[in-house]
Amino acid sequence: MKQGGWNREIPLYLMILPGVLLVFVYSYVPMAGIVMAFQHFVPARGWFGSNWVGLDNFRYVAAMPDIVQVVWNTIFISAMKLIAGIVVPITIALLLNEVGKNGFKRGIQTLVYLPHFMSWVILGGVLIDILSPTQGLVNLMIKQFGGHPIYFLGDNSWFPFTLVVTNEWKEFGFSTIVYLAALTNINPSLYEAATIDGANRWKQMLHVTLPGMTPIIVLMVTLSLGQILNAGFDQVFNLYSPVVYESGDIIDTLIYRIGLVDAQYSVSTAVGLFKSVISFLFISVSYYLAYRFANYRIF
Amino acid sequence: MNSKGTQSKEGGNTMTLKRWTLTMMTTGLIGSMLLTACSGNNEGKSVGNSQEGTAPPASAGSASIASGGDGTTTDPTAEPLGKYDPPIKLTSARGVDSTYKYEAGDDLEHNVWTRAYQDDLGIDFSYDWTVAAAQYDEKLNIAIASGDLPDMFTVNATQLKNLVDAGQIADLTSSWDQYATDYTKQIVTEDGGHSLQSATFNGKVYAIPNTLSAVDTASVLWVRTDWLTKLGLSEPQSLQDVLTIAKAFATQDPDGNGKQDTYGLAVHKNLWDGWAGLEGFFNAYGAYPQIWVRDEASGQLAFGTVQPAMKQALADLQNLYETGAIDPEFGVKDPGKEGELADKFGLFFGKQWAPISPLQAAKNLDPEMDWKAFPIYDLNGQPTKSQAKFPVQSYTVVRKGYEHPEAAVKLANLFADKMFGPDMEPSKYGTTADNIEVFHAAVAQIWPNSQNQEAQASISAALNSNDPSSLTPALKSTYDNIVKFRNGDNSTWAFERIFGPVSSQSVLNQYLEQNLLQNNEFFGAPTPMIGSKQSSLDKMTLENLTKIIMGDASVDDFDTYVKNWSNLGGADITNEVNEWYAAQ
Repeated sequence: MKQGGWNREIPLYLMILPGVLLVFVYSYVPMAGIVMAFQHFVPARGWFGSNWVGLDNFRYVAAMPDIVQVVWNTIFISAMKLIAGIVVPITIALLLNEVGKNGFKRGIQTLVYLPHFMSWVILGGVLIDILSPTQGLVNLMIKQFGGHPIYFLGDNSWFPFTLVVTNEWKEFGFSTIVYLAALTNINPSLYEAATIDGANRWKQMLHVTLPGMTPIIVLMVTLSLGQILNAGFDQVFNLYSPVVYESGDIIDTLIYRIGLVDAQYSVSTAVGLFKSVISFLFISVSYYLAYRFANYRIF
Repeated sequence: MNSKGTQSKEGGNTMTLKRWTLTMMTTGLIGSMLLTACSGNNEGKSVGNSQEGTAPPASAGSASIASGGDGTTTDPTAEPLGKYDPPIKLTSARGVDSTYKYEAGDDLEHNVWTRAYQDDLGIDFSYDWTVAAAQYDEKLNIAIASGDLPDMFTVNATQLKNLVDAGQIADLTSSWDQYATDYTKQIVTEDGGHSLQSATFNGKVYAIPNTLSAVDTASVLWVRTDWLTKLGLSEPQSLQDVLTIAKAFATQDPDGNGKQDTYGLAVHKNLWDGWAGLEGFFNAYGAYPQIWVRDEASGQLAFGTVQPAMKQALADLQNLYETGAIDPEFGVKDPGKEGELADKFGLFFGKQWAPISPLQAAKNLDPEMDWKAFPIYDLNGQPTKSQAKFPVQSYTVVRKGYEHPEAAVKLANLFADKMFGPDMEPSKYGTTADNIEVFHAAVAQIWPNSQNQEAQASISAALNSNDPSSLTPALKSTYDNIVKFRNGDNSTWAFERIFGPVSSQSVLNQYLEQNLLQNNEFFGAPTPMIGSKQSSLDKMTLENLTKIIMGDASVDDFDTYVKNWSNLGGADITNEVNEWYAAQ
C-alpha cells in the first residue's frame, strides 16, 4: 500500500524537479556572490583574491547624497502600485463575473490583457507621445474641457502617479485573470443557497464571492509585499528623465548606474543585499499577518 | 474554449497556483529581457556616437599620405603585414549597430575584411559574441567580471585602466615597436603622441588607440535657411542674432501653417552629444562643458561644466525656453525622439553629420527645407573656439595569454594600408560604389585626424572646376551624389551639406585653419574618484542644468549646484586630475 503511494508520487516529484533545479541554479547558487558586498571586488582576482573591506561598501552607499530620496521614491511608488494592483483587478474581476454573456466577457478579458505583452521600451515612446502636454491625446482632452495641460512625464508631483496609472493599465488584465480563476472555484451551490435565502446580487457578492476569494487575495498580497522594493526597473528606466530624477529615481535604476554603467560591482551588490534583506523582512511579516488574520498558510 | 472553461473549473486551486507560478516566471523572464533591451533605447544616442567615432560615408581616402612611410616595405624580420602560415585563430567581440550594411551575401563574419584577414594575414577571424552597440560596454563588463575574454576586443578608457590594473591584458610594447608600420605609427601619433600616451601605463603600451578625427566631433551651428528667407531675416553674424532668430522661428510661424507649432533651438534630454548637443551653444559663451580646460590664471585644469561662464549661457537658455523657442518637452526626449521634430525647429548646435540623420528624412518629406552650417560666434560676433573630444574614445586590447599579441598590430596595419595607405582600395574596403559602408566590419580601426576636411577641400575644388578626374573612387562617389542633388535629386542632399563648398566640413576646415578647436586637456586614465563618483555627478549635473533651463530653478541655483558638485567628489576629482596634469 505504502509502496503504491510512493510509486504514484514519483511522477509528481519528477515534474517539480526542473523547477527546483532552476531555482537552485539561478537563485541559490548566485547567493554566494553576496560576499562581494563585503569586498573590494576585482573581477580578475575573484572572490578569493579580492580584499575584504567589512562594511565599507554599505557606509559608502549610506553616504551617497541621494540615497534617502531614492529609497523613499522606491517605497512610495511601489506601495501605490501594490494598492492599485489589488484594488483594480479585483474590481474588474467582480464586474466581469456579473456579466452574463460569455462572449462579451471573454472579449473584454482578452482586450485588457493585451498591453501586458508590450515591452516598456515600446510603450515608453508611445507614452511620451500620448502624454505630451502640447500634442498628446490626453492633454488635448483636458484642454477640450477647459483644463490646463499637465506635463505628466516632466512634473515631479505628477510623475509617480503617471507611473502607477500606466503600469496598472498595462498589467491589470493579467492579474484580473488570476482573480477570475479564483471566482470559478466558488461552489455554485453557495449562490443557489444565497438566492433561496433572499440575497440579491450585491449581497451575494459581499457574502459569497468575496469570502470565496479571500485566500487568493491574501496570497497575492503576501507575495507582492515581498516586491515592495521593486518599483519596476523597466518602466522607470524607459520613462524617467533628468527633470524627474527627484521623484522617479529608484533603487533599481541606482543599482543599474553603479553596477552596470560604472562597473562598481561591490557597491551595487551591497545595495542589492540591503534590498533583499528588507524584502525578506516584509515577506516574513506579511506571511505572519496572513496566518494571523486570514488563517492562510502557504507551507 | 469550452473545454478550457471546464478544465479551469475543475482544476480549481491547483490551476490558479500554476497560473501564478507561470506569472512569476514570465514576469521574471520578461524583466531580465527588458533589462538588456531597454538600454537599446539609447540607440539614437549611440548611432550618433558611432558615427562620430567613425566618420560619415564617402570619407574614406585621403591624399595626404605621401609623407607616410611605405606600409608594404616589409622588414624581413618584423614583417608588419606578414602572413601567418599555418593560419592562426583569432576571436573577438563587438557591438553592432542596426545601421550596418553588408554587400550581398555578406555578413559581419563574412565580408571583404574577414577575407582580407584570412588571405593577406592568415588570420582566421571570428566573433565570440556580438551585441547591440548601446549594450556593448555592459556586456563587456560582465565578460571581464567572469574572466571569459575573447582574444582581442575593444574597450573604453575606464575598462582599459581596470584591465591593466587587474593584469588581464597583454603588454603590447614589443609588438607595437616591432610590427607597427611607420604609417600606422604616424596616424596614431598624429596628435603629438597623446593618443598613444593614453594607452601607455608605466612605460608599457597596453592597447592600440582607435584614433578618430577630433575635429569631426566639434559642433557647428545649423540654421534653417528657407525659414530665414520666409521671415526676411539675415544670416546670423553673432550669437545675439542666433537668439533673435530662435525666438522669431518660434513666434512668427515660419512654416506658414497658421499654428504656433515651431521651435527655435533643438535640445534633447541628454544635453550633450547626439546630433544636437548643447556644447556649441555653451562654447559661444566661452564655456566648455564636460571637458577639462586649462585655467590660465591658476595654470591648473578645471572642469568646464562648473565654471562661471556657464551662467550667462544658462540664463539665455532659460529665456529661450520661456519664450517657447525650445521644445517644452525636450526634458523627456532622447536625441532620436527629438529628431522626430526635424521639420519643426530651425536652429541647432550639432555635429557635422546631422544632415544624414535626422535632417535628410525631413528633407525628403519637405523639399523646400534647407539648412546651412555656420561657425560658432560669441555674442559680439567674434569667432569662438569649439570643443572637440579626445581623438581616442576606444582601445583595442589583447587578452593576456593569447599566443599572437602582434596580430592586433597587424590588423591595425592592414586597416591603415587598405584605407589610406599607398595601396588603398577605399571603394572596396571603405564605402562601396553602392554607398555601403563596409569599413564598419573592420577591427582595430585607426583613422587619420583631418581626412574628412581634406576630402571636402578636394571635392569642392572638383565641383568648382567640374573636373572629378583627380578624385579617388570614394571621393568621386560623394562628388557624384552632390552632382545628383544639384540636378534635382533631393535624396542626396545631405552630401552637399556635409562635403559641398558651403557645408559643415567647410566650417570645420575653417576651425582647423584658424585654430578654433578647444581640446580636452585631460587624457589620462580615469582616476579612482572618477571611477566611483562620475555617474552620480553626471546625474546631478543633468538634473540641475535641465531644471535651470526649464525655469524650475533660478540661474543663481547654479552656484549651489557648483558647491554641491565640489563637495560630493568634484573637488577630489579635480585634485586627482591636476596631479596627473602636474606629472605631464
